[in-house]
Amino acid sequence: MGAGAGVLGSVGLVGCTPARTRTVTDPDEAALTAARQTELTLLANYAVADPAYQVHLSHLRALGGNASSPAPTSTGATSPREAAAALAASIPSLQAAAISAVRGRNAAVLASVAAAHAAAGRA
Amino acid sequence: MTGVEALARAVAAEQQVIYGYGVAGAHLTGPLERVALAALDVHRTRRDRLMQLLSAAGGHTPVEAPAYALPFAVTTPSNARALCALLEDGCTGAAWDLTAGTAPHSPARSLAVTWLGDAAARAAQWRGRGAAVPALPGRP
Repeated sequence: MGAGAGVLGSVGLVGCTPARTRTVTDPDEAALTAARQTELTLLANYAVADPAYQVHLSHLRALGGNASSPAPTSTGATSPREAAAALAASIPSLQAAAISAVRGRNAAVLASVAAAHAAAGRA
Repeated sequence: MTGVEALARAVAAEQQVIYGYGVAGAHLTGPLERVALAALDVHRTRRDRLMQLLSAAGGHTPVEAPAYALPFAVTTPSNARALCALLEDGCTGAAWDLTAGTAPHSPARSLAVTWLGDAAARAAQWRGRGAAVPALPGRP
């Protein structure tokens, strides 16, 4: 969708709903929230300077998370083995969420995050 | 992209990957050759399953070409590994589209999600330890 179409869509909404605010709920919000929580937990395993930290920050953003969500004081106190175990443990639930997701794009993002976790275990 | 289109693209991707693994495998020996042969088996099985799903969805299997153009000449074990990594990258793109284009809980969605993880992990394996991994494999 181009930028023009988005602007026209916004004008239409304002005209149709003057008296109250409509809330549009993502049908996959619960799964996305759980996935964001997983990424926040994983982020805490890495020091901010670690490239893996930036990867998980990318995941958090792709899942709709706020860039300011992660704790800026992350020191990566967890051992590499524990971090790898946490990464591997996250894969089944992310894949299950991808299989269940109502919206195709949400499904693809969840599956891709799971895939990145699987790839990190091999890299 | 509809589910049928994504399935057809997925079959075509696997057809190309199977061809590519055949070329790459000829330049690999020992453990790497065994890894390539194991991957080839996985891709053949997946292609067959994708073809079943495509047929069940009313689509037609893309015609397989006798040969496909490679992105570079494969003459050494090193560039054979690089080709295998690129082939798996291509799979992640097709798997992303298939994941996005299929219904929740459908057999095609389940296959696509597994495929995306498998291809991303295999691409990382071919690139070797320390190589950068895409943050979101398959994302357009």
